[in-house]
Amino acid sequence: MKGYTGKLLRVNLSDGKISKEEISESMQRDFLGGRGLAVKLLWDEVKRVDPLSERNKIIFSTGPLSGQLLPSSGKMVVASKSPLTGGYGDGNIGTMASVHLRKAGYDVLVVEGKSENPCYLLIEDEKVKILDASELWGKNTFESQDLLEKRHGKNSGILLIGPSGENLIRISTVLSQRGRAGGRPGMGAVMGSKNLKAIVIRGTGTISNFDDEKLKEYAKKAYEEIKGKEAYPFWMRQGTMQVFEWCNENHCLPTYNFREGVFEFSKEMDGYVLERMAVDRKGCPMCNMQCGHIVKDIKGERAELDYENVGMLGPNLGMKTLAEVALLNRMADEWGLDTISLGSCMGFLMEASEKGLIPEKIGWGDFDRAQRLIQEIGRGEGIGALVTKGVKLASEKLGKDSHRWAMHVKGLEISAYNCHGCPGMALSYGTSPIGASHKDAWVIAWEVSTDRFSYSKEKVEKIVEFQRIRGGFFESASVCRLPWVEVNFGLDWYPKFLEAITGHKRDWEELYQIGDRIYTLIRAFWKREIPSFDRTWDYPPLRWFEEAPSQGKLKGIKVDKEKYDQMLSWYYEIRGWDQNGIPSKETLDRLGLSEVTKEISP
Amino acid sequence: MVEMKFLGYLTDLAGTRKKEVFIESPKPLREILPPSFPEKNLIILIDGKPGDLDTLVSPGQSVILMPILSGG
Repeated sequence: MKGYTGKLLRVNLSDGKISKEEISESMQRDFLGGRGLAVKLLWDEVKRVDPLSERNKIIFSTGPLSGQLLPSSGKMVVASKSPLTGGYGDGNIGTMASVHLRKAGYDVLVVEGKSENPCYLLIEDEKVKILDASELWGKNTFESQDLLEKRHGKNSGILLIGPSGENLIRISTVLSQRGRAGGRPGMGAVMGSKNLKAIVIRGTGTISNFDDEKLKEYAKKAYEEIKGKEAYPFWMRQGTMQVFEWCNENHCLPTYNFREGVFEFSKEMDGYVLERMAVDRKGCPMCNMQCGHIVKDIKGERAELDYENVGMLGPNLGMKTLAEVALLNRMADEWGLDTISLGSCMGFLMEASEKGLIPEKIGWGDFDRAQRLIQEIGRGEGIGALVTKGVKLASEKLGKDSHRWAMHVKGLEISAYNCHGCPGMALSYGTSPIGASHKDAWVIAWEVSTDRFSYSKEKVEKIVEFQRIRGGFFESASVCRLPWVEVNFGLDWYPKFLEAITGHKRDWEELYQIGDRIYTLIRAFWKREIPSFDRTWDYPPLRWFEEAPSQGKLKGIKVDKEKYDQMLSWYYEIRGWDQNGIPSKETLDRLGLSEVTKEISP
Repeated sequence: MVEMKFLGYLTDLAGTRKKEVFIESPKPLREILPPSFPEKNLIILIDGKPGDLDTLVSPGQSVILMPILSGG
C-alpha cells in the first residue's frame, strides 16, 4: 500500500542473522501501523516467554503518518512483552529515528535473540551491521548520544539505553536526543537483556505516497492552522507544564505518594516558574509546537521538563523548587529511568520510611537523599534494590499492607493524576492497555467539566471514545496527539492525511474499528501471558478506594468500589468482553481475530 | 463582585490570571467575559460546580475558567 515501505527489518542478535520481510497489505489495512503492527507481531511471535530472556522480542514500529512532512509526525512505538508487568508493554517516542527508519526503507524493526557482548545496531539504508558497544556500555544516555553522534553524524536517528537498562532495572525506558523517552513498561530493560545499547539509523530514501502534491498542500494548511490557534502562544510558553496549575486547581496533583491532591509548594514549580527559568526549547521532528522546555537545573545542567516528570518528581516527593526537580529529572534521563515510575518508586520508599517499615531515613523533600536514591535504583543497590521491579513487586516483598498504597495498575506505576475525586480517570487508568498510563484516555478534563463525582455510563462511553482516538488511532498512525486537544487542531484532518498518503478513504468509524481490534488483541495477549488475569487486574490502587485526601476541597472524597465495578462492567459490555474482561468469541469473530479464541479459552 | 480566575491560554484572552468584576444583579456568564472568549472546549466551574456560558452568575460567586487539556 502507498505510504508504507512495506518492509520489516529483523535482526537476530544471537546468530547475527539479518533479514528483510514483506509486511502484508492486510496487516497494514487491519492494524494500520505503530502499536497495531507491534501487538500483531508480539501476538504471533512472543508466547509465554520470560520478558528478559533472549526469546522475547523488541519492536520499533512506525505508522503511515510517521516521518511524513505533517504536524508532529516524528513518532514511533517501542513495544515488547513487559518485564515490569508481564503483559503487553509499549510507549511512543518522538525521535529522528522514526524519520530515518522510514527513509531507510523500513516500517518496522524487530530485534530478537541476545548478543554475547554489548553491541549496537547501525542501519544505513540497505546496510545493517551489529557493532561492538564495549566503549558505550556503562555510559549515561547523554554521553552515549554524544559519542554516537560523533561517530555517525549529528543528524542520525539514535535510540539508546542508560546504565539502568543495562542493569535490567525494570522501570528503564528507551531514550533519544538527550531527554526524549518512550517505552515506560521496561522497554529499556528489554534492550539491556539483549546486550543492545543503542540503535543508530541513517536513511536517505523517500516515502512513496499516493498524492504528494495534495499532502504538501494539506501540510502547509495544517501547520498554518496550528500556528494560528488561540491556544498556540501560551502552549509555546508552557507546553504540558500548564497542566501543573490545572491539576492543583482541580485537586488531582500527585502529592506525597498520591495521598493528597494539592501541594503547598505548587507555586514554586508551576508553568509560570518554568517560563521564567526556560533557556531553550526542543521537540520531535516535524513538530511546530515543541513541548520540550529546557531549564538549567540546580547544578547548571540542561534538563528537559514536562508535566509528568515534574508532577512525579516534584509534589509526589515533596520537593520544594523546580531547579531541584530539574536535577532529579536530568539524573533519571541520564540513567535511562522512566521519570513517572521513578517518582512513584521513590514516593513509595519515602512513605515506607515515614511509616517505619524500612530502616532507612528517606524524608519527604529530602533532595540530597533523593539524588542518592536515584543512583541506588539505577544500580539496583541498597534500599533502591527494593523498587527495581516497580512498586507492585516491592509491596509484595515488603508486605505490611504496603500494597494498599503501592500506586500502580497491572504493575505499571500511575502517572501524574490523583483520582480520589475522579472515578472516570481511575477507570481510564484501570483499563489502559499497558497498565496505569494516561496516554490512552485522558478523560479527566472532560470529567471535571461535567459531574466529576458521577459514575455514569456516559463517562464510560467517553473513555472508550478517547481510547479509540488516542490509544487506537494516534498510537497506530504513530503521530502525536497533542495538536488535537492542546490547541484544538481538527481531528477531521487525519482521514484526509491518510487518504493522500495511502490512496484509501477511511472514515473515523473504520479507524475506530481498527482501534477496537488492537485493544482486543492486546487484551487477549494479557490473558494468554497471564492465565489468572481477571477483572481485579483492572482495578486502580486501593488507596483511591480506601483513603481520602486530608486537605482541600476533596477532603473526605474517595472512589466508591461498588460503583467503580458497575462502570467496569459497562466498559466490558461496550468492548464486547466478558465480566472478567476477556474478549468474547463473538467479539473476536467480529474483529477478524477468530484465530485468537483457542489461545485464550479456558 | 464576582471573582474570576483564568487558567492556561484563557489568561491570554482575558489579559489576566485573576480579576474581580462588579455586577449588581445576576447575569449570564458570557456577559462578563471578553467578547472574543471561545464557546467550546472550556471547563467552567461556578462556586466549584460545572456551568456554561449561559449560567447566571450572582454577586459574591467565584468563577474558574479552564481549557480542556490533553495531559503530559
